[in-house]
Amino acid sequence: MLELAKIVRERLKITSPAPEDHLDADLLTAFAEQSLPAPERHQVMTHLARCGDCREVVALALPAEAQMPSVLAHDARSGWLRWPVLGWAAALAAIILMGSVGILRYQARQPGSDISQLVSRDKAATVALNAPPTSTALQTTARQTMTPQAPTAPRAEMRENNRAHQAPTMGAAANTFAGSSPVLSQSRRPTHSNAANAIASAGRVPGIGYGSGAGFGPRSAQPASQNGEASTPAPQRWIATPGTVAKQNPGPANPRQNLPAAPSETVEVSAATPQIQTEQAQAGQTEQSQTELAQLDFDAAVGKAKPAAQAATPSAEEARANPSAVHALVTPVWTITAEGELQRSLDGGATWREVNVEGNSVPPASFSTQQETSRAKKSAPKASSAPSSATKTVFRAVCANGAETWAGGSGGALYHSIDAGGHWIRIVPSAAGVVLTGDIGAIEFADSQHGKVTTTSAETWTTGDGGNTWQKP
Amino acid sequence: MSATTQNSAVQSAVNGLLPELYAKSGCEQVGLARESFAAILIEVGEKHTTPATSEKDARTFLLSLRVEELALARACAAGHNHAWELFLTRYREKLYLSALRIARQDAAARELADSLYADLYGTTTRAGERFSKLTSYTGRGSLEGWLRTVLAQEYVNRYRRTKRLVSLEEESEEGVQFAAAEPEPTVTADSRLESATDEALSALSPEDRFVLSSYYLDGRTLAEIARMLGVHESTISRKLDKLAKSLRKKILAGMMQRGMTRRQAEEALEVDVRDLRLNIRRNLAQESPPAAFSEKSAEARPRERSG
Repeated sequence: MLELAKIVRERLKITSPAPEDHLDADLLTAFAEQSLPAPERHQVMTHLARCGDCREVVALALPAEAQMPSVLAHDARSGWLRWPVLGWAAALAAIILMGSVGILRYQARQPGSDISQLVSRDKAATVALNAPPTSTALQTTARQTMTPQAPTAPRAEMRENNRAHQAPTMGAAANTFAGSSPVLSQSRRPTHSNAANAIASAGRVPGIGYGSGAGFGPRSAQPASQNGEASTPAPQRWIATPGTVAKQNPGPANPRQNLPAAPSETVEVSAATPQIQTEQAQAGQTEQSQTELAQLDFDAAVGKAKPAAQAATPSAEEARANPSAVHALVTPVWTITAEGELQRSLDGGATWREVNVEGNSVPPASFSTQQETSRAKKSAPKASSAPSSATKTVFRAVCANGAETWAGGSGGALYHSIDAGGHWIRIVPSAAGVVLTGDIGAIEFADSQHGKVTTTSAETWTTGDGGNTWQKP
Repeated sequence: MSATTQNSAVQSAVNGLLPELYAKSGCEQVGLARESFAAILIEVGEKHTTPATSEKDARTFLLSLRVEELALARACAAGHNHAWELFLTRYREKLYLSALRIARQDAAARELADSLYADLYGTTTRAGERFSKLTSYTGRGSLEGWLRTVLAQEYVNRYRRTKRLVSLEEESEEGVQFAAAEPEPTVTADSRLESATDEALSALSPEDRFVLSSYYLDGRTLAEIARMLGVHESTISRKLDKLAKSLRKKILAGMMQRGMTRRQAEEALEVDVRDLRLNIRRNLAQESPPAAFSEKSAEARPRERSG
């Protein structure tokens, strides 16, 4: 604004003798509401031009800004987070989503493309670091980078992680339309997911996946970047035939088994739980569980520990496809009841809910039959022969490290979850041809890689690579 | 009804429009009789028209009135209970919120609103009669806007009163402030500069002058001025720029007409601008807490008197 010479201000004042009689409220109101006819408006304006008091009155009597007519509507201060903007953001996110699906489809057709996918998944880890709500993701990343992965590439896990990436796709889309702000950061994630699976799993698990990719990204990126050559055969085969994946996961029939569980978990995830509580709870539980060991029914436990492979496989696939948002936001608190039920609390211990481990678990052998990993070799046949209605595992020990959770119990039942109990992977420790079949009484994991499992028969199994290989002294 | 003889145009316009307006006003609801409504319309019409007004204009005028709010206000003034209930449900909260926006302090706002209520209800008696302030509402603007305006008027009156008291006390107590306010360099401005400025100012249209005064004297923001005039902020911004430039040009021209060289004229103005800057800075330093409404106009008056 230009300076106005002082003389002008001064003369403006002096030549504005305050009129003695002020305008009445009626006229001033009508003036402010622009409802005076032109001649009258001119009269009022002439008065106002010289009468500071009446100007004052008009200014003070201005309505609150919200009431102003539409002409002035864009005077409103902050344009952000208004509906139109969110609408555009949603549209933009949708476009990005579609574009990335297209790119991935193209990549899926190229045999050598998994490396680039892995690279982009590495980027995903970086993205995850930036995503505000996923503090657990951060922890996971840190752990992963610190502890090198053993050379034996767990293909099964790789694949599962591949699939794990798919779930966020739809989740991101769902969130996009909900109009929430983290949308954009999420919608980038599908870039590193396989298109075929993205669609398959997304179709089955709508609405899941708020921030779930964040937790998984680093985990899959790490083994892959280290063992790129070793693991290529399997992913290639898998990626090259997206159709088989679809066959493995028959969409319409199975989702029912898992869908109810997963979304309900997603809904509950909101309050952050301090991790200290987890550790306390679990310490207490470990002791408690050891005292209960005597009650074990060994044989029954063996049977029930094996999840029903045939029936469970498709649904387990399902489970992997939607590792879901559960873990990323909350560190749950774990406990084991006197009956050996594994329970989880997402609200710091106020309410407890039983976690269906077997129902949400996958015996690793069941879908990687061609190339066995050491941990899966022996258990695979057993698992497939075990009846699905077997009695439940009696849990004795649980160990949680952020979203990384281990639970063990009768008959060598050892389950691993990397999404805070959303989905479980059956781990069958074996070393030198010996399989862990005893009752697990204690589990200690110092980090996601290094852990020790102790059975009631005082066997000690250790792993240095997150449960892929085990040593028994 | 003695007024009827003065302006038959209004009278006949009211007669012609009465059924329509009466229906529109919802007088039955608030308990206002048809005759009294007609009388009100005539009164309002005569207040805002001249004897020369044609019947057509009178009709237009009557049709532009907010008869529903007018009827409500007048029914309240006449003491109809139902009207009061309606009035309170509709306006009580708004009135208080408006008072709060004007006074900016809860206590002051309450006091302001309460005193207005008293006026509206009509505790003041005039010759033994209850007189409600609502009687002076004529339906030219919205009743809500009118209430705000009345509040603002009341506030300005009061503020002026209390302001005077306070400032006198302050000045006598704190000699510093008094001294600081004093050295307003009574510009021994060249009379040619003065008269050139006056000439330029007097040539302004009322609206330009309004904008100029609001901005430079009252310290209104562009947004406020825009809302007062019902235009966009950028319009005001452009207008002010243009005004400042054209004023400068005109003043220079005026001074040159009065026998100054261009250089002299420019110098006279430049000196002035620098003066102003100093002045603003000093004012800013002094008036640290922004007053409820612009200090400038209030200050202006004492100075006028002294000068």
